[in-house]
Amino acid sequence: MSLTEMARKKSPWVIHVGTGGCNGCDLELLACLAPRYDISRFGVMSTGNPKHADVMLVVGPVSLKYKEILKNLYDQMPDPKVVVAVGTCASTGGIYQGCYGHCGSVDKVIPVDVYVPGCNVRPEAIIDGLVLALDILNEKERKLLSEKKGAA
Amino acid sequence: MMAEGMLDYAIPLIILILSPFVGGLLIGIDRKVTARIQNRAGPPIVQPFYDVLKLFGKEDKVVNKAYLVFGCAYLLTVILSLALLLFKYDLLITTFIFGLSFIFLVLAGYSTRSQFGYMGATRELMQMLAYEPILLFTVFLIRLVTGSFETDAIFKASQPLLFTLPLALLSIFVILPIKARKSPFDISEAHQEIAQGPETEYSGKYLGMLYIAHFFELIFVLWFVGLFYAKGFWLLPGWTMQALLMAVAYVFLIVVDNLTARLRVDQMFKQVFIIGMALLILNLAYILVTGRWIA
Amino acid sequence: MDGSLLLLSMTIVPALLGIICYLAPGYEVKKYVVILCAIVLTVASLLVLSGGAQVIAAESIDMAGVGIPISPIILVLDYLLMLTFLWYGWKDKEYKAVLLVILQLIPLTYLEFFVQKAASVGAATFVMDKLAIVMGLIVSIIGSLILIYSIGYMRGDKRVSSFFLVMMLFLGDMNALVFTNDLAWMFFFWEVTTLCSFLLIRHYGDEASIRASDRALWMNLLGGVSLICGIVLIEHIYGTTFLSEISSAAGQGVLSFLPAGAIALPFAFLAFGAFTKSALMPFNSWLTGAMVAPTPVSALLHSSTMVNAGVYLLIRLAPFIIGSYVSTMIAVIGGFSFMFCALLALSQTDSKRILAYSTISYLGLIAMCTGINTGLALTAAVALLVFHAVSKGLMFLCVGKVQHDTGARDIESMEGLVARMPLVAYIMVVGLISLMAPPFGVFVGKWLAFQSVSTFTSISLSLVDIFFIIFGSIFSVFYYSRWAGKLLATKPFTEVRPEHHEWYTELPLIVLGLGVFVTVALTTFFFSSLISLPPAYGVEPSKLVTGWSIHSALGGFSPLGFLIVFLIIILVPVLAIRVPRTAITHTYACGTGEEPELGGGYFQDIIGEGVSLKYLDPAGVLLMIALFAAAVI
Repeated sequence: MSLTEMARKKSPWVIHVGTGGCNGCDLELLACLAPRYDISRFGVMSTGNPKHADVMLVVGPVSLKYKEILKNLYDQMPDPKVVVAVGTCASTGGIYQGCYGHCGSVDKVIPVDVYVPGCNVRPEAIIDGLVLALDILNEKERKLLSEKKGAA
Repeated sequence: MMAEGMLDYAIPLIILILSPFVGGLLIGIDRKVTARIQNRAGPPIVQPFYDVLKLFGKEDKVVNKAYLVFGCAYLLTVILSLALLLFKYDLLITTFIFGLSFIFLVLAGYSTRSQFGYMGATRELMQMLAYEPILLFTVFLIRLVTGSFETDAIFKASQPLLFTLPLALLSIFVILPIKARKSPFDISEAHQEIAQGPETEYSGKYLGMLYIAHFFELIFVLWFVGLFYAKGFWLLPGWTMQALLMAVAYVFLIVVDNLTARLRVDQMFKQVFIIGMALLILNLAYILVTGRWIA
Repeated sequence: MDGSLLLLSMTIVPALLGIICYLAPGYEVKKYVVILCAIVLTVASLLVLSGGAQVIAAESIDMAGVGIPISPIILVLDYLLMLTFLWYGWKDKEYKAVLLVILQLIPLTYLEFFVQKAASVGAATFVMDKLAIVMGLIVSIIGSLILIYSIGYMRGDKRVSSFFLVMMLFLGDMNALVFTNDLAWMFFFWEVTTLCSFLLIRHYGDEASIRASDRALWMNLLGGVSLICGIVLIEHIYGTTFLSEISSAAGQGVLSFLPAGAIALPFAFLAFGAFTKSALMPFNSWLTGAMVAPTPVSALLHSSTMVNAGVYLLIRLAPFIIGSYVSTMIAVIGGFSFMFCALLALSQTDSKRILAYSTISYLGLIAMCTGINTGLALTAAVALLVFHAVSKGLMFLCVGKVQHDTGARDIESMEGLVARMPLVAYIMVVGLISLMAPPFGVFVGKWLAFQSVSTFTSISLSLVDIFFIIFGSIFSVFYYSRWAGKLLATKPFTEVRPEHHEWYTELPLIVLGLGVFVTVALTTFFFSSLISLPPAYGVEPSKLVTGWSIHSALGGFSPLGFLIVFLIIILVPVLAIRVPRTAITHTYACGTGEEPELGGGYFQDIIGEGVSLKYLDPAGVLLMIALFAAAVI
């Protein structure tokens, strides 16, 4: 594993996107940053800016108003990037399934790499999902580089 | 003779090359200590280097070319100003070149045409309005006490600057959080208020360059503080005392960061100007009255 | 070349060409007369430079073997000028001007008819020393470039003939003012500049222009009153009105109703006149109001040449008031203008007003340097004079072109100008950076000023200057960098439109833009060969130069070296960074994809004109009173 790949695993910067819903999973996500669960020991930094982020943690079912915004934020993230759908509503639509104001799950709008179920999702599960996402980051980068080499 | 001349150039060069690494480690130690104070584990102390390496491995997502040019110019100018300080160039010019690096950062912030960049750049200018008078006034006081603006004169002076300019050093400590972008004066990169301020639209390797620039900046600021005790003390040689003073400034930064919350711009102005200027004027009066100045 | 011939071609020939241009039919013919005038001025000034310092004792103009004495001609023209002012003042119902003209006539008549003047045979009436040559170069070269710019700018204007007549008359008169040695003649040339400024400000003839020109008129006339009073006092105390003949040893015959220590009083009067001409506080409102004039007028008169006449006079007077209280007060007034006009410029959104306040601010800095009155400070003053004229003239010309092409003057509308007018926008960014950043010329002057302020042998009021210079320079960084950044702020997916080129207006911009770099690179030559101080200072500017760097006793740096480093720092990223098309994305607006309205940060409630001038104007008046009080103590 090269130096860059190791650095990528050790320093995932996170953007936390709440797309509507009850905000219960948002609070659990914020608890991760707090001293007890402390995801900053993995080098995680919560930036509010997609241009600086590697991992997008999406919470909540995507309301219709938020669909364009989510796509915009996803496009602004530089490669390689991973999307983690946190909570049941983000993974499958959860309690909002079939509602008139929601698209349903996040993967109807942007491609999702890791699904973390739970209502509310437990902080330990979020950390588990995040660590899974780190390996996917490196896989994606390798795929991108081989595609570029193949196209060139 | 030749060896002395070579040593004069070699040591600052080595320090210059080691600066980003030392700066990164200091930032990493800062994050670890902060985490420990908050009763959590915190990232490893080499975390800033992981951050920079990761950033260089990402693709670019840019808005226009102008702010990238200014970002690179910011990095190069910070390196230039640190080099000038280490190689003992004229202190006034060094301070102005250091100010030039912030001008580039401000230009970068304005030329991104994003609201966070705009507000961040305006706040950065207001921070400059707060610390630059104190810095230039301190350089003026150093000139009065040592007789010239050359950094050499500080090393050759009969007394360390700490003894003649103690209040000026205190006023430098007041503006130290502004330069190191820490609470209570980290207003231009008020993370919760305006995203990342002037750095919002940077990504990938250009953001990595800005991070490296911050490493150099921290070393510049600490080295400037270290100049205040450039002589030996008893058995300890000069550079040990410098390092000790730099360590004191660094610990001060960490402690103040953890004790305080971010202040508003007008509060920053009031505090910096009232306390800082009062200290400097008192110090000026002291050296004029006791005649410790050189015309 | 013969000095008097060159002098003639720099002073009378432009005026004659102005009259020819007025009479010439059609714009095409006028164009060529203007270009001829520009060429004559440039060539003559360069020949004067290569000829070196010389002295001309011309008492009369020889025409076809008949010698016409100059002094009576000037006297007659003086009275004609006063009558012109009276007529205009009466026509516009500006009674302050009428009163001030009458106040001027009294000392003038007294000086010319009732004072026994010592006959000085063969005295030098025109002196071309290095300072005068440098000023002549500024006036002629920048003036020529602005004339060429006006050809493009004023095309289609209704009153273009009178415009060019007054401009060329002004250039000739300004050259004469710079070279003259007799203070009474200088008074005449000074008032002609007042007339030219008055006529040019009211060029457009609308309500605002007429009011602005009237205000400029009475403030300049006030300065003229003070000037002529000072000249009368100098005649009494020193027995001569020739600048080169005034020496402190000859200070006798003080008027009986003044205290014996009032030897510096005439210089206080002259300084007051200089302050009104350079629009320092509290006289700043005429300059900011004069921005209604066409932009070539603002560039020529109100940034590079006419307002420089005031500080030029201060530099000439400086050797006579070394170490006196008047000198200290001049420094304080200059510093006060520097800091507070920079603060006022922060609050403006109109680009020409920002440039106007910034001009007053830098003139204040030059005045402060002359007030500090050491060798280093005077070197700083001359250096600032030159570099500021180049950069500020460039900025005004650029702003004029933008106003001409887009119709807007506000800097908020200049956002992203790089995409619409790339050439002008880049030159503007160069001009703005050259006004605030190391290693450019204005910075060299500021650095020298900083060094000279921090060198004092006794504790005095001039310690206040250190505050003024620190705060003023930081304020100037604020408003310039905000403007420069706005120019470059292009939206992500904009194409650069091909620009419509008009070479008459763009050639001077390119020349001045290059001139900014060239003057910095040649700083060391400039210092070693073009600045020389009177022996009273004991310091030679040429001693400051060692090789390519400038070193005073306090420290030094190399302008050329830093210029090269600066160019590397900017050009290496410009050339090395590639932005592939796929990488362009939107700005982060929280994902909404909307671009919000950006603006603000002008703080008009705190430091706006309405708020600040309430306190600053009385403070300025108090400082003027203090100036005269300092002279009699």
